[in-house]
Amino acid sequence: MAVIDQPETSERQANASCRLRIARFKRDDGEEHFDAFDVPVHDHMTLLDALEWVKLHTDPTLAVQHSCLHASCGTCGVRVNGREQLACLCMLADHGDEITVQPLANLPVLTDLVVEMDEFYDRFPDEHPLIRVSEVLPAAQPPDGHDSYVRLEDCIECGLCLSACPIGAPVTGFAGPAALEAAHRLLAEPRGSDSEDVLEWVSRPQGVWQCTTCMACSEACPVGIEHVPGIVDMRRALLDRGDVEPLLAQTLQSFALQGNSYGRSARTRSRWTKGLDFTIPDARKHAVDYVWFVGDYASFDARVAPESQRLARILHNAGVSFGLLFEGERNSGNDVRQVGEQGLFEMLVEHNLASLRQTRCQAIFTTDPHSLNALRNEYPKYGLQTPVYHYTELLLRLLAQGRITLEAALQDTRVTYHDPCYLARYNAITDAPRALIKATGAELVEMPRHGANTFCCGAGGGRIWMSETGGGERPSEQRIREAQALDGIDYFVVSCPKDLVMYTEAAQTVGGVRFEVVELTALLERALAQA
Amino acid sequence: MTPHRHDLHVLIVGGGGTGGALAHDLALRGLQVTLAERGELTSGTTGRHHGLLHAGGRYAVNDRESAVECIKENMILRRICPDTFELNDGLFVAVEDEDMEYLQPFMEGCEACGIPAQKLTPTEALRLEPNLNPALKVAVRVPDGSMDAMRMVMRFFATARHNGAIIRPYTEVTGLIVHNGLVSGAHLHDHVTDRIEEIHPDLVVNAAGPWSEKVAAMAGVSVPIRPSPGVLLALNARLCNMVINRLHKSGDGDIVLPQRGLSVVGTSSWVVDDPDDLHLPEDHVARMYTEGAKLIPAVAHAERRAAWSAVRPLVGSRGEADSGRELARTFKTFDHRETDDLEGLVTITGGKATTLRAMAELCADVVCRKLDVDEPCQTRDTVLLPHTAYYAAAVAA
Repeated sequence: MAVIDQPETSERQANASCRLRIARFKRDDGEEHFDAFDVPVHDHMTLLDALEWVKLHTDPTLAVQHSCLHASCGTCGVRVNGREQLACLCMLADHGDEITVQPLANLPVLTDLVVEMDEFYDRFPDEHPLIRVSEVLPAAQPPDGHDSYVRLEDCIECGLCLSACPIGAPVTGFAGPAALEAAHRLLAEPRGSDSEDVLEWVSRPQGVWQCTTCMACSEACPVGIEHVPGIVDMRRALLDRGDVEPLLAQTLQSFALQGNSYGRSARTRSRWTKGLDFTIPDARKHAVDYVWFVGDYASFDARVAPESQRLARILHNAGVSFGLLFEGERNSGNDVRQVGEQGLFEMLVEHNLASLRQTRCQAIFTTDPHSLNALRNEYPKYGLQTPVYHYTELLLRLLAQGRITLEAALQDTRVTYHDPCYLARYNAITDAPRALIKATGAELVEMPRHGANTFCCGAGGGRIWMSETGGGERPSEQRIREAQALDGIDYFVVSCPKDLVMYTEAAQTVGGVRFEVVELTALLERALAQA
Repeated sequence: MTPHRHDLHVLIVGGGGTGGALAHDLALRGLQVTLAERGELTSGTTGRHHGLLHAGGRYAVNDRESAVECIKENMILRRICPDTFELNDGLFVAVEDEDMEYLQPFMEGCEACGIPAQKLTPTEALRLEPNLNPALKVAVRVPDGSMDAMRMVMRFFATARHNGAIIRPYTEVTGLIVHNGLVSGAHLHDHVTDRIEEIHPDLVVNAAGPWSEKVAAMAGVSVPIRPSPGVLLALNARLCNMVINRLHKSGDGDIVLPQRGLSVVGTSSWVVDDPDDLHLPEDHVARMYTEGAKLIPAVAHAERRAAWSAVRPLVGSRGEADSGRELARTFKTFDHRETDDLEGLVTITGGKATTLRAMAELCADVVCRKLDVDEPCQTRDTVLLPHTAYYAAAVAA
């Protein structure tokens, strides 16, 4: 949290004020609406201070939940400009002159900024111990009569993770990140619970298989809980027992046989290159600057193949030396790992590394954020030393080097950009795609949830290989509506092959959409200066 | 749900620890209880305290009545709120020569008040708590603990609700109705519905803590309360497992408590007229750093997670004290019939989180005597439901 102590800031803040737009709801009025309040801002002022100021000085009927004022009780969670935060930790100085405050999502609103927590607790396992063994100062010797030091669990049950969860709506029945983390803690330290019962509980349709691993939960968590690794851990434990979602079991078999999720022969992986009027070298036979790790979607899916061809043309025309692994490429294993199939993941890694060892290159790039995540963050553990880039990073570098030139050709175009979870949250890549969009001259209008606070498409973590559990609007459709609420957007820009498919479909389902879902390279192609 | 044995109805004003424990006590005795809290439960003083389960050591020298209450209630709470506290004990640590002058009266006080106290050498203390100031001179171990200040109290609300009490957060008492020397009812503003109501209980209990003067004023009476705020500082690091107190008389920054992944340093003390008008003096925050670091040097460089003020409801007359330090931490029930010749209103105030159950017992005894109800207190041995039971849909239905 930024602490504003510089004298010039203090001076500036002496007369500063902030406008709070607060969601209001009273049972007897029915309709939700927004009220605006101007609040004087002082140093260290939190949103909670501001809300209390409103209650004291302007409107005593404003209902706000809070208790401890130091992020230990977890009651003051709200959405600040669409982002989950504890009001007591939200420093006004980090925000502009106007902020919008809403109650948490995915829980019923009692009144104003207050949600009912009954449904939150209903999702938890029956056992709910608060006290755990303390891991702090492990060398310390506890006093006589104590086996070990104990402490309260990390989770403060604030509900921020559930509010941020793309599948957290009550209609999905999903247990949600906090409840699954509680189950994970029970498995780690049973405290009287039966681990078999807990595993049974997490294997229900409402349990671990629903998670898209988008990491919105840990992004929102005020106490730094990493929910996704725990969920992956539990998926592993279930797979070890042969307890696996049926459609997923089928997909995993395809992997074992063909090394891809489509069950296609490995030789057909490079079929998408047939439509090109040049050949891409086999990086295993020819030295190239870059190896393009294409990924399953961009290789096999007919809807994405044209996008792969376009990027190939852009790079070819720019004189970039790049090659493919052809049938030597297998699925990167990112999502195989996230569904919990560690053994299969390691087989895929070994195979891909064997192919990569046959190449001589400066770097690897990929069009697929999921592959990027595995190659960049997991493969080094198995020996990969080559740097790995997302194609937007590569293109930005080419732009800086003057190897490609973009003209501001799209000046009358308004676009929004969707950050893929595995790019923005897992790898903090948010600037490169935006810099490229800017270079086309298009005007970028951000959705409320963007950057590290992006919203999931619903496909990640192996979800795309499992049956739809039904219930409620799909995350991808919610996202399309979020973009629809922006004014006069021409394009919904994506930079992930899965996103192209997910959002094209979602836009059709939602209907009445006035923008087109396009891959970023489609914009670039139109702005590329003809050499 | 326990059937009401009496059709007597009590309105409790204030949803802090005192109100919650009182609702629980009265519900167990079979009375109809409605509790009205203007904000969220525990949002006043209760949720904001440092979360200390007192062994009473802090008061063993100067305020033995409070010390005895603390150690007795500490042991009861362990029994009725299992799996709620970080029960790692506490240390009183001497770090300067003058602290050593406090050692003997401290040990005598603990002995007199029945507080188990074990003297430890610096080496022994550092083995228990490696982050302690290595220059410490002596440490005394006492049965302190730390708590989640909200969830411990929510167990009282959960149990009260299960026993039939109607708990109404976001419901503000905006006025008391007084006729011919009798408080006959109250005006409520329900902030959930935005509806104004009237309620006519047989008795009103003012359990508004630092706000009890404001509530009493609605009936034209006053209570001798000194709202006394203190500053607390939460650090983004758990630096100890035991509660670390300074072995000297009560002063600023004399305690560092572990709580989850945090350490909480407290506190300072001054007095205000209006408990709603709280400031956060940055010099007090700075003092938490410097004084806290004398106990645990790592405090000095730990990241600030939050700093805040919490206001104590001390019993005492205006003009009696400048800083609030001189006022006893004990609690008191006022029957306004005795103090102001006003029937139908009782005020309970003072005390601390550790003694909430005892405060409720004392007050409930007064309430029952006034309403001519002959039911004994049962809260000493009633194990409380978990905090989650408050939210269980079964209760709401």
